[in-house]
Amino acid sequence: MGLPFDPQLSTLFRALGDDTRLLILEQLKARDDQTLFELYGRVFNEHGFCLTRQAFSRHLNTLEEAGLIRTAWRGRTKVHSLTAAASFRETLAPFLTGYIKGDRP
Amino acid sequence: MKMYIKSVVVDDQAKARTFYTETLGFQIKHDIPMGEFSWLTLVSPEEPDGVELALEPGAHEATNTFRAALMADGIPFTAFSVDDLDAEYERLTAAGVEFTNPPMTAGGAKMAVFNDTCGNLIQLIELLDQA
Repeated sequence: MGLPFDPQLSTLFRALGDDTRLLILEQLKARDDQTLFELYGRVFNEHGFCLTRQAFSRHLNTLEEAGLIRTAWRGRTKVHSLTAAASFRETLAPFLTGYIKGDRP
Repeated sequence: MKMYIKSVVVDDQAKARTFYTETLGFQIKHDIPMGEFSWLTLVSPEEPDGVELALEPGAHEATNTFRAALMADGIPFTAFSVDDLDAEYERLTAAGVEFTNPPMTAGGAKMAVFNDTCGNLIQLIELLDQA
């Protein structure tokens, strides 16, 4: 009974299943502690993605709820940092490795 | 019709006067006491007859709600132009100014964002030559 994989897996795949959110993770891979304004500016300038502030904010919330990023307050400004490494190592990698190796159960 | 005043609402006029003159390098154009507050405007030494920047007291609560929301998201509502952004970034960082956004190229401009210590984020912009 139960799932033959980490129950967090589908939450992670849902969070990863969006181009804007993947671009946000890519930006945070380069540097921690970025504001919504900076992330929005980089995603817009480098990839031409144009969203409302509300939509962009929802994407950040989704990433945070999935545990892929964390937020902190620097003074009165909210900054975002990457925390994806643990999820990738502990949840995604064990699942994907089986497929990449082509193992059959 | 001409542009005359651009207002920035500040938490504390005295603190803002110091930051905007001593740290940023603007000059006081008018400083007229008006009761509890002052009519306080600045100009750039590069443009003494140019548009004035009024440092306004945050006496209306709505301005503070508005500014806090922008500050949380890292959004600047006022921009100053500079000839050499990297040099200004070095100079202001050395003077203790906190940047929420280090210099980055965006379209035809290089920009950065700093905290004015009075409740606002300010954008610095260097327009790049569009060859």
